[in-house]
Amino acid sequence: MTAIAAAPPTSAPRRTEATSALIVAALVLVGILATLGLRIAVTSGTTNVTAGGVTAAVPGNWRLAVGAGDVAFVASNPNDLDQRYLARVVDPHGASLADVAARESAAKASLKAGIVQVDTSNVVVGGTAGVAVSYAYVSSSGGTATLIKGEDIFVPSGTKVLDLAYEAPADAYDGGVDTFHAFVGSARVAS
Amino acid sequence: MTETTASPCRVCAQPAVRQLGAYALCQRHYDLATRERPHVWRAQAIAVAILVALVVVATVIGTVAGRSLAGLPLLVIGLVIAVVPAVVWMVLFYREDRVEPEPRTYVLGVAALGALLASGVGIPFLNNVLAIGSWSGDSVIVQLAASILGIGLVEAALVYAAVRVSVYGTSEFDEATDGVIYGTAAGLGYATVLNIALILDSGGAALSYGTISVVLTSLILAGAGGIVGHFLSGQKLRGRPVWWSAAGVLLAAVLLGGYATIRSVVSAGTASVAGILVGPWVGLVIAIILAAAVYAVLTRIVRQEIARASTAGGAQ
Repeated sequence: MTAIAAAPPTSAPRRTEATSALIVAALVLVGILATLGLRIAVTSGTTNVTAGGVTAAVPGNWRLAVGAGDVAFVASNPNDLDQRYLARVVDPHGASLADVAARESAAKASLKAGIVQVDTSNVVVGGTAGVAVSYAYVSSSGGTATLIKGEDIFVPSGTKVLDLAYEAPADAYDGGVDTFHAFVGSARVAS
Repeated sequence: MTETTASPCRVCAQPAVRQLGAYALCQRHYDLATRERPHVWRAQAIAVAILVALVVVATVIGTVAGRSLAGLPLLVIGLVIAVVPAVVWMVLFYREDRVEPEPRTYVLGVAALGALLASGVGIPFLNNVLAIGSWSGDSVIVQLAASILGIGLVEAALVYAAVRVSVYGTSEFDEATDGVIYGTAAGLGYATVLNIALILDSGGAALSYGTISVVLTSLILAGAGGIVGHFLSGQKLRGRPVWWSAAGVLLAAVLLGGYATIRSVVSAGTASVAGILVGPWVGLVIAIILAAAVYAVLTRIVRQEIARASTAGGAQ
């Protein structure tokens, strides 16, 4: 074993050591900034999709699945499949937007046990007036209980009403609201 | 043969009699800097073999016990397994390194610093700030770039910091293999915290897959730590250019990020044999190959450097 003693390097190596450490720090800083830039590029990009009679811009890295029944499509975050958008086309049968929202929300509650409607409000998204219905439920998929928050926004499109839903785990929900509103603003019934 | 140079020894400040690269060294530290300790490599090889055996034993126990092994017992076993790689390496290293061992407190201290940097900086920063898993999506290119530039560089830099701010500045960091030893210790300290976090977050992961994950993480971070440490040795003892340590951090980042991407792609598969998922086992084989390759390359490089230095020293 060698004796432990302070090693006073000469001034030239000391400068070399300091420069060397600064280069490592600069390298890591560049890496972190590049990663954040990559994140912005990936998450701000969107892809225009048309499926099930609905056209909309969804986050570029999300997975799209054509829906079954009256669901036009489901777009999911591949890194968190509980974070997703659902698009439906609803025939209003002459009812007002508020009535359509109430009717469809009641239908959803009857199909999904444990869902709790939290709030209903009038919103303007992308210059279009709509009705938003927020809700929550506990998902037990994957063996663990997760609180899912969701929001249906009903907006008119031509003679139809689009029901655009956003669901995400409670801790990730707020971070995705702005992106969801951009999705709602881009959605149209395909001509 | 030897000649006294005007500069003091790079390590101990005693009168220098030898030149190694750009650095002046006393005879003792010249001999140490050009000495190889073959038992260091043997300890790494035996550690890998024991860890593979651990995975096999855990898989057998997990299969036999089935669902009866759950809750607190599973959590406790998981936590024990999480620290096994670091303990195995430490015990083996000291059994093999009895002739002139590195001070135990230094090696343990560097490992503890690696663990501290992981829990205080690395894991919170990677999970909450970069949060790569939440946005990288399915693109392998994006995953690879983010894993190398984000996860790889941050982890490699923290392993670098654990060695650089502690033992690197002391006269104990004076041999060709010291960097590999301390870098590996820092990497294993970092890996141990990641392993404990995995077990706690999952409430005691399934025994076989949890053990595979623990071993994978330990092997790759130990290998990356070895790379970072080797380049630090070159920086301090062999007068390498100022960008040398950064090159080591970058190389370790490529290993960490590249492996994370491969593991992600492999683990995403759902192929199974007799009810056992194939992906984690393929990931384990790749990790063993990568870790073995890292230490084989480091062994070869250190030997070549020592041979070159001995030749140059003999010619003086």
